[in-house]
Amino acid sequence: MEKIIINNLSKYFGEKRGFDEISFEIELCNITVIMAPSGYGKTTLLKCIAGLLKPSSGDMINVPEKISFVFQDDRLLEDFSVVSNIKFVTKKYDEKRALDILSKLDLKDLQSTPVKQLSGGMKRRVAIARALCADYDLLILDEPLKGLDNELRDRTIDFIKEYNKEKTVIVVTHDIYEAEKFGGEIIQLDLLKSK
Amino acid sequence: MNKRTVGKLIGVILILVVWQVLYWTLDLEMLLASPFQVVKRLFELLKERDFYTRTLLSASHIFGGFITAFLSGIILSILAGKFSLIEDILWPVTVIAKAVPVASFIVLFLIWFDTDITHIICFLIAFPIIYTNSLNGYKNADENLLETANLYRVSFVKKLYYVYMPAMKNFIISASTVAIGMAWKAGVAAEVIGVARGTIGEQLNEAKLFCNNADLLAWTLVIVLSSIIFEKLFVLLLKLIFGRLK
Repeated sequence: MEKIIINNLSKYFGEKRGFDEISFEIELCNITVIMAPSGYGKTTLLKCIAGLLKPSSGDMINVPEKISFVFQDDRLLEDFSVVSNIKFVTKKYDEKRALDILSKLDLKDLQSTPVKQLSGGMKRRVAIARALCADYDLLILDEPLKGLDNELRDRTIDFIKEYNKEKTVIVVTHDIYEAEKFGGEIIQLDLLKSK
Repeated sequence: MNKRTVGKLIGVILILVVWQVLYWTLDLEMLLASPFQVVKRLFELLKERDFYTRTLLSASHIFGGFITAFLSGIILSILAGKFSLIEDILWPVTVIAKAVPVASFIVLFLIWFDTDITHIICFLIAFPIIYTNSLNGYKNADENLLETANLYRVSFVKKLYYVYMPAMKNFIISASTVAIGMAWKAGVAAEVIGVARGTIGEQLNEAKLFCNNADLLAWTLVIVLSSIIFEKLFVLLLKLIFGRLK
């Protein structure tokens, strides 16, 4: 099976270390959970994989072109409606697909509501819905379930897994329960480094 | 009536009281007409057809200059935000337009052109205010949203609509309120110095020549009220337009 290969990847911001010489492989069309202690550069690593940051050294092979990302901060258009936030990232807005995703995340009734009127948990789900509505081959989720209660968290994980059966998903979390619930391979960055 | 309206009313009453006291102190109508005389003269003016034609002519010139500055200022600020070369090219233009006294421009253009220059002067005064503020708004756009837009390869037009315009909105509205007031001041100054026929400025000039203080202040009141009405209507229009971004 084809894999995304991360080979000796490092990122420095001047003298400041983002992360240093990380190597691992990610199976395509599977879920991979990345775990590491705080400050280990997980978000920086994800941004490098997504092409938002240029690595200082190392290689990345087989990274899909079309990437969707749920950032740690929601990064939503606060003045715009939920649907407008989806339209923002989609080339062609597929209403049926969008409404299906919104209803699975209990957001269908809020589709015309400006994001600034939503609660933190709702905004988080909008961020997830927006990422799922985009056209992608690789979905990156950076602490995607922050602020969701246990029941909603479990349902959201189930839906993300169900919806991305044929897609590559990278999840960053520090919660072992979430990591196990997502299933798939778990990569512990700090342990990799010590090998 | 809320607290702020009461405060504004107190401010207006204070000005009227000071004005009336000054009138009594000077006791010379040629130097200062009383608030009552000015209001009386204003009501007389309101009955004259000439009042409306003059006000409309001045307002159309000033609005013409302002709206040209408004549209070109916003378009150029977007281009300058996207292409730094345009920002660099426009830098000396905005610095000159901001620093050179308006009277110098008026005299210079009166030498060059044998016509009414009000709209050119209004443009020159309003453009740097609109352009600079609009550009600041553009640069104030959320970096994270722009990063997200780049990830999804969002087109520039879409970025403009969803990210830049909301960021520029408040800058444009506040710049417009300042620029409209400045455009009225500079526009009427140009009419006075250029003795533009059929305008408010011409009436101010005549009031000066005949030392008609009531006329001078009544027309000044017309300018102030026109500027306020124009500003409120324009800001309302902008809020309606920006309110559609959702």
